[in-house]
Amino acid sequence: MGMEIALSGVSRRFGGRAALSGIDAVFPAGRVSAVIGPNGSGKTTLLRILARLDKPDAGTVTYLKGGHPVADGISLMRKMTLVAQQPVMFNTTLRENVAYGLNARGIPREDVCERVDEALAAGDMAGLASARAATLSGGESQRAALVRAYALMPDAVFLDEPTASMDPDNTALAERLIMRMCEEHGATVVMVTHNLFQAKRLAGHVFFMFGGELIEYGETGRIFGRPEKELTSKYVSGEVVC
Amino acid sequence: MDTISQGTSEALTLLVSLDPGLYSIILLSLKVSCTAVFISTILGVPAGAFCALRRFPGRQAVIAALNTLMGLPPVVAGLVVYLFLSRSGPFGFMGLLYSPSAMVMAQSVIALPIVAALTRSSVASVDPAVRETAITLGASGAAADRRVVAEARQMVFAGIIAGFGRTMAEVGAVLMVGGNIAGYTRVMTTAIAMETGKGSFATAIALGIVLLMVAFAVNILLHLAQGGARTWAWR
Repeated sequence: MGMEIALSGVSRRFGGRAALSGIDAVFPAGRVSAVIGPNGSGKTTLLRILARLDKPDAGTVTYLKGGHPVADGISLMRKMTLVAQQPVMFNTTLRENVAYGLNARGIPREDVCERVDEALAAGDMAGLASARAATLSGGESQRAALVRAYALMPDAVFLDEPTASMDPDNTALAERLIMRMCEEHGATVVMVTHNLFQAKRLAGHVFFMFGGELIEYGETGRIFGRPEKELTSKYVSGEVVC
Repeated sequence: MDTISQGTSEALTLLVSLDPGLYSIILLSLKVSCTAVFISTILGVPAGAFCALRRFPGRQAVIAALNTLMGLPPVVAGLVVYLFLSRSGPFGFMGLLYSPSAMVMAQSVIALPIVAALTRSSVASVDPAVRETAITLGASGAAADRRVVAEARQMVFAGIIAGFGRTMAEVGAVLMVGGNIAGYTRVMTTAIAMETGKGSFATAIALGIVLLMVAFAVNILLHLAQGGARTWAWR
């Protein structure tokens, strides 16, 4: 079951620059949410804060499962995962990479093998299971990172431009994997993307950010069809916003 | 030329005939150096990794000290161990001076900074995203640290091999604290020095050949380590 994630007044500064300013938002449980916006709008900072890799200077992030808050700590960290835009693959085989998170979570060995095999098959990477992860191409690494996340069956998964290095075929495969995480495992997916078509295809909700602020968010059909803010309207229609 | 050819011929005879005196020296050398490197690894790898992964007061001074001690002259290491183990020293009561244990201590003092400093620089060079990735996959802080060290394993192994090479070639410190006692503390390097002084070149050349073979083996190991040896399955 996915987690609902609620942000209240979340701000983050780096030096004198505000990366995030007073973000109030709710990422619904068990749905795909797309975070869109131009470079430097704070999308990656937001993902890192959601994944507990960074702390906000002000504001709170609350994780709710079944309506109850989930306590902070390692148990919360083990309910979620993040796939970076340029994912790091450990210097082991692909199979060992996929198994790493399951072993870290203390999953029994026989279950680990089963889930690794299932994840590799889902990502069409079974043939590369014994390959050194370091030898994978950029697109394969991104797909492998998604497979690694898929194997964990997390309650929440944060994706930073998960298909940026992929060709159309691999993008389609990756998108199926993302949807399976959401539909089969009930994961809450928060995905940063510059691909508006991808946001339309996958997301139930869209969050538009600009200059560290959350300009507008809502259901995908409304954000793309009837945006309330002029800036959102310009961005989703492909105009340059700066 | 006669001396060299005759000495080499006699040296090969000694090696092939498995001369017990010669092989006891070789075995003691390997035993002392391997023990010293084992101790240096047990202490040096965690210490180097800690310096790379943690921030603490005086960290820069510790790193500078480690880097400086990498070039520690062996005779200085020998002098320090000698002063500690001599009858008037703080550990004189243990009666370890002129024993293989004292030689292990001296070689450990030489190898430890090498292993620790090279481990630190290896671990520090690992992409910080490795630790973050481990954390996002559910690893605890300690497990994530182990993952980072595992990513640097080839260079860490190279540091250990470098430490072994240094101890095998070392003569000053083991001579000072071991005393080059026949059948007890005589190792290859001290024996070569002594036999050469005596003009007994056959044994010196035989031991020199073995030392060269060890150096060659160390180089092969170093090459394998840097080239991506896959023998470590360490998560």
